[in-house]
Amino acid sequence: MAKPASKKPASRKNATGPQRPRQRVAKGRRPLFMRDPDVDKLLAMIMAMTGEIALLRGRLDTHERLLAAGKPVTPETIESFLPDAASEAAREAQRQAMLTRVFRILAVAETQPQQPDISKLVDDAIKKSG
Amino acid sequence: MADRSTHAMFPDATHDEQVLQDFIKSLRIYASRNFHANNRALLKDRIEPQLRRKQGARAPSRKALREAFGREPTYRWYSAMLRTTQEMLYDTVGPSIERQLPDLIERSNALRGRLGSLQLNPDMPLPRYFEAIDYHCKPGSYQQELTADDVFPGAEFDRTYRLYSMGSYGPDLDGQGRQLIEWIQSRYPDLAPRKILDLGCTVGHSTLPYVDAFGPTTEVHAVDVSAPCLRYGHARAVAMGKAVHFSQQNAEQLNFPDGSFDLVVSHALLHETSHKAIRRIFKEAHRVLKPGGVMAHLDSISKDSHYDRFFSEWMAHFNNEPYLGSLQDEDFAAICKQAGFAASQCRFEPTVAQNYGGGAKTDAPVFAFMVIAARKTA
Repeated sequence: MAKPASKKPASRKNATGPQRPRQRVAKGRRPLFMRDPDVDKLLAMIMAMTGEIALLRGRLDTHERLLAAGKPVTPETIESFLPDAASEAAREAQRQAMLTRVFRILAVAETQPQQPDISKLVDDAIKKSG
Repeated sequence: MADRSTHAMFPDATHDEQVLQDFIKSLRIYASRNFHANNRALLKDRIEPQLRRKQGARAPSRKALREAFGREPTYRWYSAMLRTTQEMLYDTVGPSIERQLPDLIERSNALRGRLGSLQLNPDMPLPRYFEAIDYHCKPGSYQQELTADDVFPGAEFDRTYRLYSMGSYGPDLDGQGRQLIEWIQSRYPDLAPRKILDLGCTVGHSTLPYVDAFGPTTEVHAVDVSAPCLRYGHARAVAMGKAVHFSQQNAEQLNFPDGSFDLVVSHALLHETSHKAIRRIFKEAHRVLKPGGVMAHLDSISKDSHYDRFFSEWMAHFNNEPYLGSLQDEDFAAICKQAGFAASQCRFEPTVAQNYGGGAKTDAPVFAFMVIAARKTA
């Protein structure tokens, strides 16, 4: 009986034998940028979730383009679907628009230091309108 | 789905793998565009004035820049985003390569030796700087082998480099090679190299354009320390019909006899080596060059721009490219001189930033490189 492949990830040269699992994380402690390290983790999760939405959207787009071309939608036609340059450009534009919406708050925060406090604006507005 | 390959060795992707990889490219375009736009603005509006108040007109050190940026929330958010994008790049492409690895190895073995050549040296020790770090945050770096005859890191790189470069290096990913060839041809119009050596070739993306650039009789050699990258690179070159002689060698200590080559080049290799290694690499280049031969290295170096210096420091620390920061401070004329080149024969010049992709898909930042070149006395 063949020996089962080792579960230990390989990171070595001149390997032999059955295929070992790939190393999944780069060597060294991951750098943290945020004041609270949990925020770094949350950001990574939100980015990954955004990828999952892009995946759903892409699969839906393939369905629609197959149907529009009068083709059946089956796992096989989906696998062999080849988007043309125009549909690729449209998908890219959709993905950029989605990323802009998801990370909108970062662009807002960037303009904040120059802005006056909102309570002051409200008070002023009330005073002026009597 | 969509086989967007340019050659028969190119790894496959299912519909969903391709869509996720396309997302990573979009994310990288988004993250790097915002990282650079916001950090450039921060540098100009806040950090440069701060540093001027603190230390006058003196050019800020890379460390001072890094620390000043570190206090800025905008910098922190976009840094976390860019770093995470790099991790997602491998986490997306890696599993796809792993599932098709047996087929990739079979294809590579079938193409082995059909054009050019491949020479591996399993006993060659890897440089310490190369083993110490997983370069570019690539898990297992460029030398990881999962099984015999492995091509995993090379095959993964062919996919990740395409996403990483966001289309700007063209469908064959040879933009850096083409950029350096154009520079060499413009600066040394009399050079007609018959034998060319590419150092640190990885899978030969930049090597292949040299096969046809200087006429049909050119003999092109390429070396790298990574066996799995060379196996993949050899199979890729065969699949693309380009004769290249690949061998597993350390650029610091080559096996070629003195005076073997007319042209020795490298593309983004220097910053992946070390302070000691670069000196040995230049010496070896001088040794293997024929009299009148040219050495030319393309790399990300900026002597003037505070922003570029800040970004090399960022990449050194957070994209796992340790020497990229201090490479900026090297005295290249002195290193060339120590290597045996005459001071009057050394050049240190920027290349023109170019987008080799064409089309609307390549709306991404394109960086200029610097060339360090020297001609061996005839």
